[in-house]
Amino acid sequence: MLFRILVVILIAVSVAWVMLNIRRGRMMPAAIWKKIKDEFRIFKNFKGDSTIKFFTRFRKMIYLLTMTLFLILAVTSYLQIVMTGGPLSGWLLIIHVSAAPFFAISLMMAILLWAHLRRFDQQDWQYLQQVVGKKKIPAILAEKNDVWEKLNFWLFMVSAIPAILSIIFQLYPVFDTDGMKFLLQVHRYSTLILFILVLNHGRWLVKQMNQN
Amino acid sequence: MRIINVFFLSIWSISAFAQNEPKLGDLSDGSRATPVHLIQLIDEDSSVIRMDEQPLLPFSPGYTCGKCHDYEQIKQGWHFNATDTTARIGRPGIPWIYVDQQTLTQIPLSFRNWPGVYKPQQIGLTTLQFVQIFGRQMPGGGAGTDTLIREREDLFRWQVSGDLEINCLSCHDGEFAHNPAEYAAQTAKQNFRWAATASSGLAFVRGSAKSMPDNYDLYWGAAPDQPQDLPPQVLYDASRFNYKNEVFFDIVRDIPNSNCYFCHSTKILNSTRNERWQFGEDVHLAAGMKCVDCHRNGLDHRIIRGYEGQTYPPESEVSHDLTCEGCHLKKAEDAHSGISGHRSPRPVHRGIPLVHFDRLTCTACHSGEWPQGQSQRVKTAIIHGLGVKGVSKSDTIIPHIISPVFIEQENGKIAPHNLFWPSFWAVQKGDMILPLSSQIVRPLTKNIIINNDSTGTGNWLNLNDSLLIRVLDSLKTVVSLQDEPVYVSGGEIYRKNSVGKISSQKHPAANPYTWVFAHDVRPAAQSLGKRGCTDCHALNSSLYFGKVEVDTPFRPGTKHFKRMIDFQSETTLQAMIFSFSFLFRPWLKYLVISAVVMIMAVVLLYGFKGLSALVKFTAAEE
Repeated sequence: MLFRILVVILIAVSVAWVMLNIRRGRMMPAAIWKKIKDEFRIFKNFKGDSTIKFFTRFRKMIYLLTMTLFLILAVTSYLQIVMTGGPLSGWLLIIHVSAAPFFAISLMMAILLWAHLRRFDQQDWQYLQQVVGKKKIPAILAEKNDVWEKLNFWLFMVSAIPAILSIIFQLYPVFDTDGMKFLLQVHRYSTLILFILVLNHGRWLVKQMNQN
Repeated sequence: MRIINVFFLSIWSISAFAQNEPKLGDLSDGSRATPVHLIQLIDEDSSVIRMDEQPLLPFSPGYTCGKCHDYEQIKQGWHFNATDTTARIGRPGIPWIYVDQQTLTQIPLSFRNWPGVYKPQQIGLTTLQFVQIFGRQMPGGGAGTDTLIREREDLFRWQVSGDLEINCLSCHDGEFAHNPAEYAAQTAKQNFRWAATASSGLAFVRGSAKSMPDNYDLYWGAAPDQPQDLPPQVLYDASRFNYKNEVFFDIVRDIPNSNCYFCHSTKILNSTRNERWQFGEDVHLAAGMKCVDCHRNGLDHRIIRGYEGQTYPPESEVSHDLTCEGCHLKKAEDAHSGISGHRSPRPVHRGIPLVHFDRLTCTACHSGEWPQGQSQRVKTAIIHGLGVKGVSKSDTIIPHIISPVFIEQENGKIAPHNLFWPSFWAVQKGDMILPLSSQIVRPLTKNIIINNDSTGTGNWLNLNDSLLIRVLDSLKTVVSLQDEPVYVSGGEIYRKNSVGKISSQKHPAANPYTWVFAHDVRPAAQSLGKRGCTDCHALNSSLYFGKVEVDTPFRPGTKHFKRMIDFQSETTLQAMIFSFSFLFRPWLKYLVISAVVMIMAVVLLYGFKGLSALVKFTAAEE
């Protein structure tokens, strides 16, 4: 019940945030839709790509695939939770369990392709020093710094580990019913964290779009 | 005037007080020992039975037991309250099934308003006829005593037969000579008031109330013009009476299982196993428990049926403790409350995802025969009169009960059910299907449907298209013009269409009647899932794709089957896709494990790299 309430609140807050941004002109649905369509165009016209270009394209493809699979998993699970509060069943269950392994594999590829780009470096520590008020860095560096997005990325990866493991353990005769209940809670709350991190990532994307 | 009012008020107060006063046998002093029941027998005239009196009447359980026990409260019990319209009906249970081989009829009956059952009067059975047919496995009360549901034309017959009172001995008699089969034989002879006495082992009853005329008088005896018909007579075993005219009853509080078994036995019709020793027993009984250890009741006899969500007795908080879940899955924080007395091992259910407990009853995996590719037929005591003298022992006798069938209940949980397909002649009025009585149908069918069952199999007689058309044509002559005669069978309604052929149609009245069963419970080692997920999640699993016979006498050459999934909310496609995924699920598991190991490795690697950057940064700062 608590989890259901949390999910409802989270969805309500997300919808309210989107509506507010649309109203204030920070988000334009048509522009976002066009951006998404543009992003998905990278799945076409592979021919003639250089190796570097191919990897850039491939990296983005994996990113889009991971996000799409995550959204499928979120929708199929939260729809049931919000609507009935009961366990997943029927088509929603089939879609959820079918998408889940591909999400795990796609996430693995995402971390392999994105980890280096999202690594923390010395500039990030400098920026963090400024945040805590210990040091001032040039404005241009501060503006360009994406330490929060990096943090978001790594938190997503870390949270994904219990989310996946809690299901894997359920598929083996290791835990008893109480253990299974614990694993289910771990899965629920770790995926809730994943959902919040994805929303935060969305907020960052919108901000980027507006800056551009 | 005032004095008279005070007088009547006093009388009323005393009688009201007397009614609330618990009777001697209902008030426990705390002793767990069963009191010795050395008591006088009392007949229905409330007179003590003495061996030197004539005529000797059968004892009345109501008066004999009612002297010390509150009969009015006991009457509320589940076994006796079927005709009480104010009683809670609970989930659908086993029906009485009226069977007539000659008219190809098997139709579920009950006085309870369960969906899919008919009242006996709807098929032309009077209450007296109903009790005569089914009294064999009724412990009395209900239709046997309820005067409000008796037909006027039977009033004199009821005077002859007497009431089929609640027979306390049906359950509480521990005497080895107690003979429920004799009770059944007596009810078939309309010897309702004699049935309890005849089965008690205290007396022998001969004669038949059925053969007595309506004006037969219990005290004056039979009319002299019919000497060949023996009136009912009771011959007590004089050695059982002591000098105070008292008789010893071996009354037991904990009912022996065999007393329950007379009405609650099931025979599995298995072609490969047909001897008793080849079948086991419920795991609880094999461990030494009794039926009444779980199916308990108080004085009101509102017995706990033991299913999840049972709302009665509503005031009893311990009723949940007497369900599978309540006993076996008791939470540690509730350890201080509830009923103790049994070890009730807590199941580990290692590796079984929680969704199974939301979608399946405990009995789905643990009860009944291990499900085969096709459901089997069973015979049950209440339906087939098992244990009754002279009952057909044929395994092909109708009604054909199919079991187990995994059906989704209203609460969304799949549970094993028994199922049978009603077959009966009816008329259709608009959208309503009204069954016709055997008295109307029998004379018409006997010349059309040939009874070729010379070997007494009790199986369906054959019905083909031309015979069906002939019967429907005959029925047309006896029903009103606006009504259309139909035959309900095998989940369809058959009628003669405008071109003179048989056409069929689905209708709720043709739906199978189903009821949940819970016994025999199999041990954990023989439960579904013991061998892995593919016990159920496979393309040939019985839980989803097991075949369920559609039983009908019509067109006997063609066998029809349904799948278990047809009785569940999931579609066949969903079940197939889900089951199919288990073929490659092991590979996906390995892939996902590899993926998560890789993610963990990269997280660790870059975690250390981040740390390295931090260390370098702090060093540079210094």
